[in-house]
Amino acid sequence: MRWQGGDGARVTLADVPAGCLARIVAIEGAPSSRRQQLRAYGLLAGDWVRVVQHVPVTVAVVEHTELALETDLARCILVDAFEPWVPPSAQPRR
Amino acid sequence: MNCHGETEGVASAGGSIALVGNSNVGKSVVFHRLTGRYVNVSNYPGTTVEIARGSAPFLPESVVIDTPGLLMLPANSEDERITADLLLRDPFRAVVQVGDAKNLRRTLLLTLQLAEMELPLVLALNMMDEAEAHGLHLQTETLSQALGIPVIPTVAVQRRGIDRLEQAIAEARASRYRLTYPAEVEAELAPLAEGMPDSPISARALALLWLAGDQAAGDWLGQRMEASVLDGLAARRDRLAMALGESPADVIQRARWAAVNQIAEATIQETEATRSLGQRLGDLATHRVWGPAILGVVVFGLYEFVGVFGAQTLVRWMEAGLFGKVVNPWLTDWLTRWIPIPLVVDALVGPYGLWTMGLTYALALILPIVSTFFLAFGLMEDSGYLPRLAVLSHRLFRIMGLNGKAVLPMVLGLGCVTTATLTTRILETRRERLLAVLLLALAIPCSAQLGVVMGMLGAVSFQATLVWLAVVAAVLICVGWLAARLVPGERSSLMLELPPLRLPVAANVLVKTAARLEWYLKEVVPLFLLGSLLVFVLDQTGLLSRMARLTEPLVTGWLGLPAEASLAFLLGFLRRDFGATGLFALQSRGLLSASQTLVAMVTITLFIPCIAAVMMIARQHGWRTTAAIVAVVFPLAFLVGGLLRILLQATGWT
Ligand SMILES: Nc1nc2c(ncn2[C@@H]2O[C@H](COP(=O)(O)OP(=O)(O)OP(=O)(O)O)[C@@H](O)[C@H]2O)c(=O)[nH]1
Ligand SMILES: [Mg+2]
Repeated sequence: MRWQGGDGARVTLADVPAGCLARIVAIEGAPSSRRQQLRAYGLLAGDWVRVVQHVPVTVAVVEHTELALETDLARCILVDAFEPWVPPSAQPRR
Repeated sequence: MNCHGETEGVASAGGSIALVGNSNVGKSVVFHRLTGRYVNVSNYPGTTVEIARGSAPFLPESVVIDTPGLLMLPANSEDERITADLLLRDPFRAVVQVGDAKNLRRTLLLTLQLAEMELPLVLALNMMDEAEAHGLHLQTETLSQALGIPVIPTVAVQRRGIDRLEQAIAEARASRYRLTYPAEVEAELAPLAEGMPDSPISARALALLWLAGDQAAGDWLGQRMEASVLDGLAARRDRLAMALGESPADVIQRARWAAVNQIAEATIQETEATRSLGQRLGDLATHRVWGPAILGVVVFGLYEFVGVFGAQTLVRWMEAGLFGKVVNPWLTDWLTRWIPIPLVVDALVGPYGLWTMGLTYALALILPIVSTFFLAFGLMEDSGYLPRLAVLSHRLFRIMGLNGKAVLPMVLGLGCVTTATLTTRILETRRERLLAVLLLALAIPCSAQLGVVMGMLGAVSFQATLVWLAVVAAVLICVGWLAARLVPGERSSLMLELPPLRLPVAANVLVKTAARLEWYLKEVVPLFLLGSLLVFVLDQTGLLSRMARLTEPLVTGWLGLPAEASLAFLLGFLRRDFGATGLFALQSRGLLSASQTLVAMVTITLFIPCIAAVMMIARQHGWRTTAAIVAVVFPLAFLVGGLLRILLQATGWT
């Protein structure tokens, strides 16, 4: 399920499987005010967000907030990498 | 939901202190801590949609102001604009930014904007308890030095850090934090700032707002500058956009984020934390399969508590027991003995009597229902479940030209349609607010009315309640669908923060329930009494039958109700639950059959809620829109009522 960009396809947050972490590259297509709001919530290029679900709407965890996003809006958020997320309790202690 | 509560005048010789910050971070709890005045606190973004003032005992003659939440500037929805306008309009002795410690970066983005305004600023980092539970350790000292302002960690719900906050507010100084933007922006900023009119915020901050296209700032400048000067400013902004090759707002925001990330990096230490039960439950509550299942459990729980325990057990106990066996016989006996005038006795304890009909009805039948409802409602509000309903209901609201966020005003409307009308401010476009207000006015019964409906239909059958629910829901969706196609404009996309599920704070739920019960007792019960008195007087003077004859074609001919019901509908023009009082009187005299009760309840539910709600709609959307809404709602109510009657007759339902 790990994916690193490169093949030129347009991959968005809406394409990231639920339960994965995804790295944002850009937001395009949404109205300017929406783009600014999304960034204000912390959806910035280079940041990782966790996708919780897509149905009925996309839910992503940004910083320590869950954000519900209409799937059309999630399609405006471009990502360049994603990988499965391991819940903290399941991670081996370092 | 406490339909009362305008801000009282408070002396402010000592200056005013504004509490600002992102939504749902605890501003209103801090306000309560600082002033002792309670304003509604709930666990969803958009609880406060109006400014509230309270005096601050720790700073004599000064005023603390609670504001609606603000994600950032430029403001986007109407409630955010209230806060933006406030900052431009009023000079503040100090601004306290309340921030959510576990979302430090987002908090700091706003801090930088406030700091640029050169207002005396204090940052209260609230919800430190949750930040710690998330494994975050924040160096508030480092943060304070980086920003040049006091940073106070607080846990407002536990009163932790409030004393230090009060002290910091008293000593607050203008922050001197200054961010340098890319050269092109700076080159425009300096001359722009030069030409800005005097304002409570710094000229530089005002110029930045202008460059970012802030509407509140634009309007503010528009009131103070000649159109030609403003055009010049707009030209400068356009020129900058050309030079940058993108919108200045984006460039400015990027520069701020760079600074925020730098500061955050130095202040946050994150360790691993296990996910709490609340977090896991929160995810399940919006899940495609578990979400509806949990909703089912919640609705079932509500039904058991309000519909069975409140509307049946408690009502039986109050109506048949306390009032029927003890209070009413005793009072009737006592009155007939001591007051020899039959008319007066009749007015009090006769069939249409003030006490037997009005108060018994308001206290024995409706009070238990609304009490259990208010309690359950307060628990729901505090739990953080309501915003998750927005996820589950999004697709339904899409049909009605709205997005899932509209579920918040709709659900609040079940408490009080008037306050819910105010809450439509959290919706982003005027069209969405209009659609939401129309649906609220038409098909969302408020708590008092829900009480009436449950009380009266409960006496008929559970099936009748279901039919009522189905008809009202169908009207809601059909009208919403149609209105969405008729009202021009776009739908905005759903973007809503889902706060963590929290264990409700007992004190908060109780205070809120008490305030709502007070509202019910003080404002609704007197109207019930007035209604009963009116029915009595009209009945005695024979006016009732004359009025009934006038409206007979509609009420008897079309709706198939007894002529006496016309009065109820006339009263319903004032308040729909008020009108139901009259219907209740008819039902208790055995004049309404089951199907007639159902038709009457559906019709009255679809009426305009109450005068207060109409005034609120007019305040927000103007009288023309209000008149249009009223002109749609009343005929529609009778149309649906009549059609339902025909349908019931056709299916042989009695
Ligand atoms: N755990 C925790 N919860 C808090 C704290 N402060 C506030 N809350 C809770 O956070 C929720 C929101 O509080 P409010 O005071 O309504 O927030 P607000 O900033 O006024 O929200 P809006 O008016 O919607 O902008 C409520 O459920 C509070 O009980 C805190 O320090 N710790
Ligand atoms: Mg508030």
